[in-house]
Amino acid sequence: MTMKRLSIAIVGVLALLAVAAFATIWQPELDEVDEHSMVGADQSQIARGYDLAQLGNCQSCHTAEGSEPYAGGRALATPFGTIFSVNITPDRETGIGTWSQEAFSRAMRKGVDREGTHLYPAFPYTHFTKMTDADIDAVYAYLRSVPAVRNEAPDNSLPFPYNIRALMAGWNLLFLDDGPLQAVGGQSEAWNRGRYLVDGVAHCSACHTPRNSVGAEDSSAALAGAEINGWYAPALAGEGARGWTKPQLATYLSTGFSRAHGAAAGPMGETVADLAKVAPADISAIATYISSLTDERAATIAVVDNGVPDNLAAAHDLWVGACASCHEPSAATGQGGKNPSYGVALSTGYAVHSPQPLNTVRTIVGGVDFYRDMGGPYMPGFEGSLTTVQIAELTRYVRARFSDGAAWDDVGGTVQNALSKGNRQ
Amino acid sequence: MSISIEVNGTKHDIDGDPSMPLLYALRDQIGLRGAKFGCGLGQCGACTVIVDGRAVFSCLMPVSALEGRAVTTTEGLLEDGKPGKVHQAFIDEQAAQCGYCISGMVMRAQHLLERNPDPSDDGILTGMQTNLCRCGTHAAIIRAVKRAART
Repeated sequence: MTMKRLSIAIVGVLALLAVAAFATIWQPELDEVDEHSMVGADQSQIARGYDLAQLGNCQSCHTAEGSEPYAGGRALATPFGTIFSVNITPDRETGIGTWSQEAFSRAMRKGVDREGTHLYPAFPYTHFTKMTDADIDAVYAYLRSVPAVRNEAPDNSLPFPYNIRALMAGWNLLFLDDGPLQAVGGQSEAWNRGRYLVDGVAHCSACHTPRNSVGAEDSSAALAGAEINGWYAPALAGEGARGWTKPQLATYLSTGFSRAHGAAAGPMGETVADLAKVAPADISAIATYISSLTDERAATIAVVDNGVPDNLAAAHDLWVGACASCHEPSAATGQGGKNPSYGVALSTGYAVHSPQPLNTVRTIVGGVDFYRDMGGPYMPGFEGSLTTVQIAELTRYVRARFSDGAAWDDVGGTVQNALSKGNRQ
Repeated sequence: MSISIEVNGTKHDIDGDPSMPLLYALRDQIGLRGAKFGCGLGQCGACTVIVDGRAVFSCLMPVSALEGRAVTTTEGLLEDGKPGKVHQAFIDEQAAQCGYCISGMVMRAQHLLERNPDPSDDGILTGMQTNLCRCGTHAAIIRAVKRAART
């Protein structure tokens, strides 16, 4: 069956389920709350909500480039069309200022807004439903405390049938397992805490797990790695996963950099910029859980330098002029050169070993620029300095020289794609 | 090996290693000393020039990458040998202290104003973010960019 036919068949099944489950489609509108409700909310609850909002990286999706935090309007490209994040500031006209705690909790657990309309799972309620009531209420208290901003998000641009929100009721019957996560017996408190955060508010698998033809995470391939917005989110579990020790991962998640793994870039860079503000105990819990998925086997990433590839002499000139001042391996150690690569070899990072050129290309194009105020890793982007052809040549060069993987396919197309997307998406 | 590059509308033949950064060609072979060597790592912006309408770090720009592309340096912004619009705004606001970063700042500002002639305050901060001033005259630099936008 072709993917298209499969999609049509699945949409049909969803429609039938939706009809059969009319009761779950129809969700009541919940009452508006008074403008001054929550004034004087418990400060420690707001502070906890702030931490959870950083763990959940809420601001990243709910803020358009160059505009006010949480005011929505960021375009999220999905395989089904473009969805625009909504305003979640307490503005009463365009934000969620009229939402009660009950309405917010329903949105987080069931993916239904205050008016009773189904939301799309680009908003990861399939994860947020796993949070405790206390944590959901804390996020609500925090979002009530941010400045209200008047900003109407643009309408989604989804073709038929994906524009029918009621279909999501059928989707939810199939893919939404609502209610808080239960702890696993025999595991430590930190491990369970980490699992709760990873599966819940931090929604790691929203990027790191592949999705099926109707956009639900494939639970049989949990955290097995997936393409997301023109980047590749590496596997965190299963065969393709690199080993991480707990200290390596904790350092990476709170600073964007690990000497054994390299720098976080792209969507993970945005995520780390938020995780850096989170309490160390939460980061440590996440690291405990994720590192257990690879049995804490130490990362043993051999330094690779195959020398200048014979067929890429022109690319070598580009390398020497544009890259070598930071990345040329030291003759003495074989490791990377001077700052700002911290003397870490380019072959340490996942990007050059990945089966796809996505992350290498996107990093050359857009650089790494999430930690300017944190003293973390930095790399200038080469979009504009180098041409499409030159970036493609360099990409082939670093693959051939610093990994033992086969040459990548369609490097030129990947570069063109990356250049058309700009830095942020 | 000789590579022909176009700088401020004039063709120059550059001799030497094709991987040589544009900055060295500008300063040592062509004699344009406006762009400065700061860090050599694309982190400070003192070497900023414009290539095909985009501000780039000339310290990370191999000359071999410049075949058929047009380079503009701070000298290229002079008008009849006198300070150009952006230069004059920086002078009027006395935006330089030691001055080492200034030609890079001018080129970054020129690039910003070519793309957006009327940038917001936030747009100026974001647009100038890649260039650093160790003396700390950023406030005057931002005023200079605003003044250049008005004139």
